[in-house]
Amino acid sequence: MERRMSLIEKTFGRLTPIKGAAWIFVFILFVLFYIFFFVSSPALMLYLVVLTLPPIWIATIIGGTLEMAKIFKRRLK
Amino acid sequence: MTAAYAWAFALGLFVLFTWLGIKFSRVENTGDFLLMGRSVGFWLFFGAYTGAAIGGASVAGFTGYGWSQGYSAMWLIAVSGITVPAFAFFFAKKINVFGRKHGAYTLSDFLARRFGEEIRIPTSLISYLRPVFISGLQFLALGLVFQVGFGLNLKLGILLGAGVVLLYTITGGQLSAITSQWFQSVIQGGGMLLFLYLVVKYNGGISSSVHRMYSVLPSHMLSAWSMDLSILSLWIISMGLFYLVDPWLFQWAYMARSAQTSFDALVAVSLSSPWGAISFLGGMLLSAAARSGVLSFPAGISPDQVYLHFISKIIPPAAGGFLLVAFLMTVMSCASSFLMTGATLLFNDVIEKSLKNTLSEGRKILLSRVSVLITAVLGVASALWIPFLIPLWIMGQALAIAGLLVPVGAAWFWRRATPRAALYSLASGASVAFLWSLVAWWKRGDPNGFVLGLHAVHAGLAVSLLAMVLASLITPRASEEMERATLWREIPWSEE
Repeated sequence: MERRMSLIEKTFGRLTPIKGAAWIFVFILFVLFYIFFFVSSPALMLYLVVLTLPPIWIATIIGGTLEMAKIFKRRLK
Repeated sequence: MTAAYAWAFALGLFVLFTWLGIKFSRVENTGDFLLMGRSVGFWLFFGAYTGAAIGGASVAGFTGYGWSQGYSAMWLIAVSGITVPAFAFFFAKKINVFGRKHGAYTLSDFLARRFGEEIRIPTSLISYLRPVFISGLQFLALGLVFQVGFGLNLKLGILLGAGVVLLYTITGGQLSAITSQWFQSVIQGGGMLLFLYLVVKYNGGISSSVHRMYSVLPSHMLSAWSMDLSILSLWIISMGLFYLVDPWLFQWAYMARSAQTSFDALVAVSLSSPWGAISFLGGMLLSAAARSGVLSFPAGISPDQVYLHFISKIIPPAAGGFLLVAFLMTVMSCASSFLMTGATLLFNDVIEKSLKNTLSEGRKILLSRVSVLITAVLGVASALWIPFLIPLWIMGQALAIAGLLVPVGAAWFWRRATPRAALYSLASGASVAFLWSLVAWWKRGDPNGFVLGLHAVHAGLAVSLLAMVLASLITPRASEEMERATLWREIPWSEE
């Protein structure tokens, strides 16, 4: 029998713990960005940027490197 | 000394990108060359998109905005930070599914499926202007970076920058462009973090930076709400709503490995907004440092020059060299992305369709490469010989919104819209926006100016909407298959 998917699963796909945590992080960052912007707080925005962008940058490097490695393996045989 | 470090970094990276282009030059078909075989994974998409979305204007330009206007200028990124995720939520999956089902490459493919082939060329023409002018602007920015940071002549800098970008895109196509964009994005991110670290350091650390901002900057520079409402309404349309019909964004949605990847990556790139915030905050902190006498800038310096002056004249040479190269990468990633979008539009909508699909796959790939070359040549020509490239880019953007928003919206949601009405809507919206821009340019000296209290986009959109509704009531409808082809509720959320 076909399993009914929840709205969350339809939208975000199968959520592993890591993927779920990543979405929560993105959501919190998104909300805080707009709160700090709308309440006109460059100070809080500065702290937000300083604390969150380095891990995003590192995640981009790690995730991208793994994907690039697969592409290189496939294309550069 | 800064230039010597920058040359060393830059030459190494140019060799890497050229190597990638050559290594990836063996492509099997045009889908491979233009859309990377619809196989872009999440991290590559996320990194490359961030690299491509943040161009030269987003670094030097936004730093200048922070320097001169302060916090309220961040509306520029705040509006797109909402509309791009909204686009992802509602459309990214469906566009990906549509692209796979119908072999679509461009926004024109989407509209032609719904309203017939007659709408293809006008759509492509409007869509093509923006990538050409943006590529031209990036080539001009490359020339300026080579001039200011590396001591080259401006024209030589434009040709060198465009030559490197062309070399790795014409050989490896989208695969080479996206992998290079990912590398460029990593360096760009590192550069932006280093920039933030340095401006905070020059202000004596984070607490001291915050204190200085609040004690030295005027209050209007610290408020998000000191923005002129007419300018804000324009930004909401041109930097916000535009993304709902952006041909470049459609292409990203088509290229993702799956509908889910398309959604995930496009929602996650809303994180580009905090990246953009670095430039605004950096500009504000530099302004605070200059006002309190900690740093000195030439009197009356143009806001656009603040970033380049800081990295080439104030900070230590090794850091300056790295930041110059990071800025170069920022510009190159944007240039290569829009070059590929322009080439895809030119090949898919004009060249291939005019030759009625009679070509062999080898010939198609060759002509795709020719399309990259033509788009690059047009970009270089506009960088070299058109002194008013920014007004033209603004006009291109206004034409695209005024001409495309209503037809695309109707294709998604209004089954009663007819092919004739879509054509009239597109043509009338774009024409009115074009004429309105010309009048604003003539009367106000700026095509982005307001005439009778309205911007070109406001006027064009109103006419486009009216034409769509009225003409749909009196012209013949399309076939049922065409009406349902692009209907939002008819396209599934996934391929299964």
